[in-house]
Amino acid sequence: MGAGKNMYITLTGTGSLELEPDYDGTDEVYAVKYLPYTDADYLGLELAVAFYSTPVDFIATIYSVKSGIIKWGDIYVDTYSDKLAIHDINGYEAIKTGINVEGTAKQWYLIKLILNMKENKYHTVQWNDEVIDVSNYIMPSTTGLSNTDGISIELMAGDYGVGTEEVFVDYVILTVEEG
Amino acid sequence: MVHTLPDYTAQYKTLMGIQSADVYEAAARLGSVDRITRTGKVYWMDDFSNGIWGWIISDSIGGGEA
Repeated sequence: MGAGKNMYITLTGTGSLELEPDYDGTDEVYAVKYLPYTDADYLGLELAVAFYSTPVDFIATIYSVKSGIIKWGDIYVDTYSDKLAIHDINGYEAIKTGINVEGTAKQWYLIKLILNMKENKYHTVQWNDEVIDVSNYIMPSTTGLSNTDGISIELMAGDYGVGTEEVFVDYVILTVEEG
Repeated sequence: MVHTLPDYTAQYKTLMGIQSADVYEAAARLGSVDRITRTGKVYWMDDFSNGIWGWIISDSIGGGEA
């Protein structure tokens, strides 16, 4: 299915973004928002996410591009292995296990990722009311082809090939944090 | 209040592109028992009340939709 096709809004409160990958085990669907660059020591990304059915991958990523250097950090919700992970310079590292988003009652999960842009490190990840210190993880960065300064937010849902899975995102907030 | 600074000064410059009030109440209005850390200043937000305007949607070869 092509980008932009079958767009619709699910009415949960004011509206939600629904990401629904197909289900042959390799499918991913992305929603990307491009924003002007802001020079911040810390950036925060806050989301409310619901998992209508599982297993599904959900990854929220902040990219910051300044003078051709791309810094990025993400939060990965793996509902198959029931874990949270972040991608540091060595790959994905689990930061919390035993999460269980599969329940009889669907609920919103609150996520807040804070990146230390000044020192190129992660800062904290909040999962509902639990704050996880991830300040010992180094953010990946690379010299890319992009010469346009900016910040982008990428939301991705990927399937595990066992059915149709949907992820709902109710809101996204990008914040400038103080250290 | 009028600052006594020339109009070309960089002092008091703001980094905020958008400042909105009470956006941190969004989580509270959802009725969750969980509480998000309400730190930081809002640079940008979207609650999808206007659909997915401004978002770029793409998918892998296999497909999907948003």
